[in-house]
Amino acid sequence: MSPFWQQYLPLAIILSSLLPGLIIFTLKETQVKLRISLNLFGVGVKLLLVLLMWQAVKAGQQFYFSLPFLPGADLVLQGEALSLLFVVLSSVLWLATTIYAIGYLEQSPLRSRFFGYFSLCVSATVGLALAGNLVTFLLFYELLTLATFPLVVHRGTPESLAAGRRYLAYTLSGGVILMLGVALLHSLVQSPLFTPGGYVAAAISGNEGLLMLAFALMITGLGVKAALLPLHGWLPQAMVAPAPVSALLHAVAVVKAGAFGIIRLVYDVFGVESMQALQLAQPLMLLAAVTILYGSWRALAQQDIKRRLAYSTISQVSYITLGVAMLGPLAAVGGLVHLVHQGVMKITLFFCAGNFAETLGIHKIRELNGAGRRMPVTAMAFTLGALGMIGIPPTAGFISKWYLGLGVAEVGQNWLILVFALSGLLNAAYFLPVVYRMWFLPQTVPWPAEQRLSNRFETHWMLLLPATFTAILLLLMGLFASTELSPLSWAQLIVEREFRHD
Amino acid sequence: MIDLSNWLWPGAGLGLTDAFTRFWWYFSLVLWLFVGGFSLLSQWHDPRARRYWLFFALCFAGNMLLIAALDAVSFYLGFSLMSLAAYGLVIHNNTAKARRAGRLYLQLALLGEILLFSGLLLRASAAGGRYDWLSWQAVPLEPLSLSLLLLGLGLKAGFWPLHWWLPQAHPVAPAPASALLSGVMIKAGLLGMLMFIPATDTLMQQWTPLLLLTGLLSAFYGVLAGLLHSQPKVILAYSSVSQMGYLLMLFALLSLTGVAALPVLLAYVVHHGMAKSSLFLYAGMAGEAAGRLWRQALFWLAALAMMALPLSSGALVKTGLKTQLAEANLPAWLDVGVLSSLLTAGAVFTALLLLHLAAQLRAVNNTQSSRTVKAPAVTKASANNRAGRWALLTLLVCALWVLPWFIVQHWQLPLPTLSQSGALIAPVLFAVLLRWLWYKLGWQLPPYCYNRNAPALYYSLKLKRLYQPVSQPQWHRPTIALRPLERRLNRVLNRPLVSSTALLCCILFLTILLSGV
Repeated sequence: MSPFWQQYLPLAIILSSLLPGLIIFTLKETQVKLRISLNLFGVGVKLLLVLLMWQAVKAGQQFYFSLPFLPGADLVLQGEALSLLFVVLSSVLWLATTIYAIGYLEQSPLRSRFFGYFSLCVSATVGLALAGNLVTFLLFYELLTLATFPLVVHRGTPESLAAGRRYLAYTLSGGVILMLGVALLHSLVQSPLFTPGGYVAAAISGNEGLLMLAFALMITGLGVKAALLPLHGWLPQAMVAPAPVSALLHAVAVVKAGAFGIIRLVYDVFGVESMQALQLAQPLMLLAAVTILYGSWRALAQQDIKRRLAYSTISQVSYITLGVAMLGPLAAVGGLVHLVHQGVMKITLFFCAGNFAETLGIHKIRELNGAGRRMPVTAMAFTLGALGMIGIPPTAGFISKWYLGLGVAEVGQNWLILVFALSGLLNAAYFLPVVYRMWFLPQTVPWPAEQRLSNRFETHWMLLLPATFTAILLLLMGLFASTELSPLSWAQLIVEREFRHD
Repeated sequence: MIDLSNWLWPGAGLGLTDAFTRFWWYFSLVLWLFVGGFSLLSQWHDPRARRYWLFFALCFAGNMLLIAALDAVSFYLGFSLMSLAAYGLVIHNNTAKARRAGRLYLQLALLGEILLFSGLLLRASAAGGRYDWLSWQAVPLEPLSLSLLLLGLGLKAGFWPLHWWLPQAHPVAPAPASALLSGVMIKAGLLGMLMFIPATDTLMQQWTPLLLLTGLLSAFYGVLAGLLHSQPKVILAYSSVSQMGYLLMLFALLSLTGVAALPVLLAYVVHHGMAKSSLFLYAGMAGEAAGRLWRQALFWLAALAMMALPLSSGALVKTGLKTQLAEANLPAWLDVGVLSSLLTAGAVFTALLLLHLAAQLRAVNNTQSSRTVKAPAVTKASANNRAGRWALLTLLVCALWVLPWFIVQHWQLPLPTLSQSGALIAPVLFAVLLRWLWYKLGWQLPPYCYNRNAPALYYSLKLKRLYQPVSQPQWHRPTIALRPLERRLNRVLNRPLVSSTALLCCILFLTILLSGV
């Protein structure tokens, strides 16, 4: 592979979903086959390119691509270990979600618009992952907001329009605040490349107040998408979106973008030492801990499956923030690996919720009685996802919880173990009754709106396959956590590189 | 040892490294397979047999895994697999009572798992990130991690203050499942303690008298609570609470007398596992024993072994416990004489409980046989099935009586001497006398003392209501209606709007002009 190629690889990864997306916009509604093949072609090319990059980064290479953009801040795309973690996650889950969405939206109108924005959304996510400095990050962050809005309101019902308005209000104002923060930081230290260990350390003396203000502004801006406590209001409402959109929103695109931004901010902009010098970690940690408990607590009371999952997301994403805010290597491994694990587990749960809604018309938890007998594979996948969320071995969730817990003990904040314990119990309290209903209670009333989507399987195979795939994936990630392919060893590699600078 | 740390989670390793674990593993395996064979017959006509076998297999796998685990994560995996799958066995009969008991069981099991998880985390962190428990032995314990481990594992082991789920869950499960729950699975908690709590630790040695007393209290509590119940399987569950108390005492003695107590503990585990399993299996088919002397003799053989009649395995372990207690260097405030006389009193109580059980089983027999007089004749297949089950039970009871010789040979335990045998018979005779007197004189407590519902069930329901409210609390947030306010403002401003805008523009224009000048 020539160096010329290497330079354009990050750009090519973004374009591999952007170009098919743009072409899809121009397609007619009836050109189903062309659209599907374009979509799958994009996915395939992207996975191939990501694989290339993954191998090179593992060998220690770095990818760098820049365009002049603003004075003092170029548009930089950078491929290194941390960005690749998120790129791999979003590409693999994009594959699953695309297949799911094709099955889910069969027969429904406006599919060209949907898949066009869908591809845009993934391009923005990947761009955000590959962004090499704060300005580029901000650009893709805003693009992501705009690309997801049409997906949230896709159904066009008054309810989804209201949710969309709320989503836009939250995320746009979050974006403005983030921009303020970035601008403030830019005026202080410019916007150089993300560097392990951060780049603000030189400017700390004399600028403490302003740096703290910039950090607070940026955390507020990112916290809107990461659904930190007072800014989480849009997330439970946005679950009115179609199931593949919610799945992508919760697992990869929007929520994770916020969490990923926090990781970048803490490790690559401020860095561990500056965070300690400015004493910024403690408030963030507290906020994350409160969000974890609050999200779990609110999830208990929800009767709608997707709403319960949404509140669960609020709680689970804060695990990542918490792991990052603890500033210890083991906790960082836990947080980073949870970024992947939570994505896979949550996408499984949303796929399953979508399957129940599509096949049987089930939206409420109390309607799930006996669903395990009617749809055993989906129910099994849901059970695995739920066990993972609680943190029962050998699922992926256990591994991340174990590392987060080790990180807690490592930095000596033992009260956080109590947070994990309580949250684990709350998770069990809102997931296990669902599982119990599916498997142990008999069906008493007919399904609300049953459809026969397949003659051979319990539902359409395109709905069933992604859920099965991610469920198996989450089991494998938990079981074979030590192998080289696992997210855990990749997270350890990242942390090794991040913490090596000192 | 199988090193899996490059494949599975970090530090994963399986293996039976010492004779102790090996013996425990093989014993559990044999008992599981045996009871599995039994349930092959007893669940033959069960309409939900598939579910039973699924959870049975999961429990089995978990139990075997946790014994063979060499690292904390593998142990935790086996432990949680076993705990959660046992829920399916507990609620197998699907009655309201079973579901209630299952709920309590699951709540406590999850609580125990979280506590154990936290304890293991603290230990792993204190050991510098090594997960194999053999290297934890040298790391000193802290009070927090010790209490977390004791609570988390104790909730499974089921001794006195942590015994709530035992008397609820054991009676409702199918007989082979409760035999396994009581015979093998609750021992997993004890095994965990043996693995993760080093006996030579200083803090542990400070806490030992406390554990010793807890074990003693548990031994007495189990018997006294069992005497107040009339359901045979509830009595057996309480008997397990009491026996786990003795095992806890042995565990505590381990850190006072060193490894000498280990064979006794192992012998006790084996003895209790087999005796309790056979009693549970018998209780499950007591109705078929009416009028059959040989079948009832099986019960008496198992019960007498538990009452520690000389030459039985019970005699061996009870004597061993006493010897260990006499040899231990206890703190000054714990008098050995008082303790050993308390142990003798405990033997009387154990015998009393088993006699009570026998009476209750006979009562069940009488009612069942009077009810089944007009039952249709059994078919040949079910008669075969029945005979097979009894044959298996006979095998188990025989093994229970042959066992002491094997244990004595293998672990070089001393056989009880003649005087010790006398000391063993006396409590049994005394218990028989007491029981007879009780029967003759018709002593009774007020009726409300008997068969009381456990408060744990009530609190379990309360807890469920907390996380699954019956009705959603509706709270309306106060809405600040800005829109009407705005409308009213517009209406007020409507008329002078044009003129006021013009005025404003003029003022602005003037200011710009003036500032420009």
